[in-house]
Amino acid sequence: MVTPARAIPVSASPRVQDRLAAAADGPVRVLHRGRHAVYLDLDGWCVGVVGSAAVAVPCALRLGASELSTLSSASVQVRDGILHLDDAPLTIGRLVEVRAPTLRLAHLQRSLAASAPRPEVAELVADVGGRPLDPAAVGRLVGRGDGLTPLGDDLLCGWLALHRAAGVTTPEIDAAVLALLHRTTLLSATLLDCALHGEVLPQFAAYVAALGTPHEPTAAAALAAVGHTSGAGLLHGAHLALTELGASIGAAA
Amino acid sequence: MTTPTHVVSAGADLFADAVAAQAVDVTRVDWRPPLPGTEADLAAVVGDPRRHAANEQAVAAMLGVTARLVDVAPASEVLGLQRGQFLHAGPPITWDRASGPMRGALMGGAALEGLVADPEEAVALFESGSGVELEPCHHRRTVGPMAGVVTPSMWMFVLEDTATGARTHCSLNEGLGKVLRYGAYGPDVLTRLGWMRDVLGPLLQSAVRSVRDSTGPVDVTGILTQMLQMGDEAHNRNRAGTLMMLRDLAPAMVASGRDSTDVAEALRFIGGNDHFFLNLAMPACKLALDAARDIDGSTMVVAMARNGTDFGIQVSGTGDEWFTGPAQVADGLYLGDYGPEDANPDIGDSAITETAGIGGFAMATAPAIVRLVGGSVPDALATTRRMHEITLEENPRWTVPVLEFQGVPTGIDVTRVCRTGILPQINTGMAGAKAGVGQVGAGLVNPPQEIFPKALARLAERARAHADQSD
Amino acid sequence: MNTLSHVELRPGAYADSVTLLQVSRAVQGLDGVLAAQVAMATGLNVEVLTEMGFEVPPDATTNDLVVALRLADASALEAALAGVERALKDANRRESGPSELAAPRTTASALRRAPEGLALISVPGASALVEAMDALDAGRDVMIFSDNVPLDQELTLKRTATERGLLVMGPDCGTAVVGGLGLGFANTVQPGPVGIVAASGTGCQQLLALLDHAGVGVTSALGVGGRDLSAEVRGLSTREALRRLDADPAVELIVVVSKPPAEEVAAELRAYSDGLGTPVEFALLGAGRPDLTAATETVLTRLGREVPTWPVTGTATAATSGQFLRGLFVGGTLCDEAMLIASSVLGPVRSNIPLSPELALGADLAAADHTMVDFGDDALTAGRAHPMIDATLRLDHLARAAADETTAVILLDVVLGHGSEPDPAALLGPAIAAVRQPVVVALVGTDADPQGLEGQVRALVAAGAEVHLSNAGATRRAIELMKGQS
Repeated sequence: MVTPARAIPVSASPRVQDRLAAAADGPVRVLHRGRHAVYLDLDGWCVGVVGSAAVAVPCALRLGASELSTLSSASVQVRDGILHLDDAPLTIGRLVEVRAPTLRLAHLQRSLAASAPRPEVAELVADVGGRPLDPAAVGRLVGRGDGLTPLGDDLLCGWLALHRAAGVTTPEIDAAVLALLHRTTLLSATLLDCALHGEVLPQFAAYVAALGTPHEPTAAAALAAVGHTSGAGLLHGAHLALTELGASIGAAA
Repeated sequence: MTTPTHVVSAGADLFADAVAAQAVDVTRVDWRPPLPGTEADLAAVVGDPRRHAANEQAVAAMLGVTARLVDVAPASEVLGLQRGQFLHAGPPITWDRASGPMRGALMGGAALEGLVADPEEAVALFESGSGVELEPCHHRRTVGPMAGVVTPSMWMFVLEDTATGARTHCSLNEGLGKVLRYGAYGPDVLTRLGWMRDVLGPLLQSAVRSVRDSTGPVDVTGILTQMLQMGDEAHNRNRAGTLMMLRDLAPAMVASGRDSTDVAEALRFIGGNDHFFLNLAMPACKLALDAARDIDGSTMVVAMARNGTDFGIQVSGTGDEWFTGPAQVADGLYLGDYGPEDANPDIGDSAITETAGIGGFAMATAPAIVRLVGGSVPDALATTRRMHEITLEENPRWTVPVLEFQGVPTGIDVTRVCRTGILPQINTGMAGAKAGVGQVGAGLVNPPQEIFPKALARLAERARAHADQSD
Repeated sequence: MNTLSHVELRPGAYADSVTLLQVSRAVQGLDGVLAAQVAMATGLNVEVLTEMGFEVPPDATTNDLVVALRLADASALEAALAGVERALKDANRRESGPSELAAPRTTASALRRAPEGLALISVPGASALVEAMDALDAGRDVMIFSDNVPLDQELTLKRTATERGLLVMGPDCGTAVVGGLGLGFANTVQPGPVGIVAASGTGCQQLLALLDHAGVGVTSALGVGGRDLSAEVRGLSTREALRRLDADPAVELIVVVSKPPAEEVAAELRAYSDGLGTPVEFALLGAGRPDLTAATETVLTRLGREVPTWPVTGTATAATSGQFLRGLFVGGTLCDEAMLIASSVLGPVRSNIPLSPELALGADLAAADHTMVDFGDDALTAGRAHPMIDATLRLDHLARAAADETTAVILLDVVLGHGSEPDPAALLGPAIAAVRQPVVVALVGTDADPQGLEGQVRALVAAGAEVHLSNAGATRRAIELMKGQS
């Protein structure tokens, strides 16, 4: 008698749940393995399996706080729409909200805290800032930079997600992004897809919620601290968007 | 509302399982029904609107005390103790109910004060009751180890909380073996007590005053802080404390101008008695706990004490009332040929150390003690951890290195004892049941369970009365 | 037959009723064991044991564990008792955490180990205040599943919570969803713009199920306990719950689900709601008022969302005999709703939670009348697992109702979600298949519930039931099937 492997409870966004439910049975390619996270190619869309110490990307299955050792598993496969790590099913016990909260720009009375971007970010911002983002600028951003999530993509994610939070559509930029997704890593392309839907990291959602409140500088700092430069990229992408949308940044309070 | 990152579940496992299945961390409470008959009283006391703040106040008061050694003087002076008056350890007791060691100590004390020529004659004196009075040490801001008998001519350590001027007292420790506090009253005992009265007391007074007036009084609380990091727990193990105290007082003793033979004898006496510091640790603990007395609504225990027959507690929210039950016989290791049938029931005010969060409560910091009391090192750690279940707070000054410097469990809460059935753990020496035998062993002992529901019931009465008034 | 009955009392031994249910089941499966029950000696359990033919010593108290075995013959006793020990040990075994660290013994001690988070209390009602107060003292919110908590203790807890800006969900709160995390009996829902304040567990669950089917998510559903909107408690928790949902930027519409509160409480409540930034819809279930499904439709309309046709699967045929509708419910509010709808068409309905006192059922729960029973009511769950976990009592009454020739139509609710029976259709299916009368089922659950909604529907339909998502819909259908019989 085969003892069924113990189920591992996870939480996920409704879109991640839907993608898994629609996935074909069979082995899944591992894109990247880290200490607290593993990233998988699920039919051309990246799904992460992340422990509580990892960055909670919106395209991931999230483990409860105490589980982390199962991530160095040998086999990964989908069976009946459920992801299995070494035969242990990752059962989605809870659905999470990954969309940034609604941003009421009109209510944003206080000006935003200014912060000097890091050199790498400053370079990008200088390249595309100062005027509204256009498809040409998108072309210079997608896939630009090193690592699993290039900095140019992070900037774009921040810009897109902020527009979604503010309820503003950006069809031209969206199209430009979609056309270039093949130029970057699968994970980054997936995160851009998430951003197009307004789906973000918890730190980004917290930053949006904190805009115009006394908590804003702390939230901005927390976002900027995410990853190596990713958080800074997201933050300044959001700033670019806010500038375009009329909020003033760096002006005296 | 944000998603909780953690849930604590008390009750059916099924709900904890359901939370875990949703990928959220859950801590399960190992809940069991409270001590029989306490449910209604627990609800009344826990529901008392004064309780939470009262307990916070009690703990703060206790932790805010720093005990300093300001004097050494005879009990007749500092306690107003008069001829024929005897203080003793534990809750109030009468001669007829007293056990062997207590009687022996009282008899020796009577002889020491010249009430009788021979200690044996004191039996008739105490039986008659004329010209003699017995009173708990606690009623006179004093504590005494084992029989804890105090007579007017005995010299007392005087500790003071400089912030409030409050004071507590304790006699000088005679040493091990056949001593008065174990109920011995032979000529050696009386001779030694005489030397302590004539030589040791005055010498210590001189040294203590000299230190007090020059560099400031010895900080006993501070010595306790350091002791706990050095393998002492201040009840059964006081070696480091004794040596630190000696270090603080020795120069002044030498410079006192007294006869160098006396000074040498005194230094040898103190240095050779690993329990000397116990008689400072105890009043330091009492000083801290006295600051927490009489706070309406507080469920914190302010004294645990035994007289060799009864075990009694006093609680902050119920004033001076003693809640008593039969003192238990300790469980542990015996010296020489002695066995359980030789042991007297629990005796002494030294449980004031556990009441303050040290002694048995700090067993984890003194793993060496566990061999003496017949346990293992994991037992010691588990005991301290278990005591955290029945206390209100951790002591920020008195910490246990091996438990990652967690503070000792502080502020025994009557409600938590009744809820969990976990009784305070005391490390103690065992006196021989026959007066004069001395120490027969050391071990672990608990208070009798019944006294906590009794205290709870009185707290509940007061809580209900308060509720009726406010309606 | 040499059958041997063995009854023993174990004073001071304790385990919660759900654990003992598992133990009893395990022991019943042992060789030579004809019947077995391991339970705390509460009044109800002693009755059950006596009915099973066991003699329980008269001095047994609720603090005593009773082990009752009926064996094929005496030789099976030793092995059976060993089996009892094994089952008790297995049931009590916890996963050990970090070595040396024993599990916390009080909620206070557990909260010291958790830097944040709330407490969920399901200990016996007489001890609930003490554990819940630990949470409030630690500055945390608390959900109290426990029932039989005295009113004055509820007031003490809620006054303390109000002073400290904390939320007490309960007592007698069976369901909550806090930021997507289900507590108690709760469903897995999509995140979305609705916030719920519920004085009723299964009423809340019905809303969750209908909204989820309509594609509308719920951020939080805060239970406040059945007595919060009474004249004595005056909505202390309801107010705090409203405040929290109003402050949550993700919540665009708040729904309050409850029986109609006392007039003065209702007025205060509306005044308070009017002062909030978020609009509030009141779903107050009572005579002459909209049912829960209608209330849900109003919510959808207010949000500008489409109202779907509520799903019905399977087809029951009209009744051919009997005169009475018999409802067997696990959800109190679902039972209430069914009674309100049924009484307005069929006339008086008798119940253990009757709409008026003269309609009360006796202890046998039977009558020559329409009957609707709430098996989750306090009186039927004292010392016993809730019917959403332990189907035994309801299955028993289902068989009786089917055998009763006066029964025309049977109406059942099945509630899915966390905490509930993992496969209710497997237990009910065979029982339903054996029923000749038409059976209508209100299956309350969401797509993402652990039981698997789709599979449950299929199994119940295969057993011959007609399955509705809407309890109101199921009730109306059951009434329709009665035509000509009553």
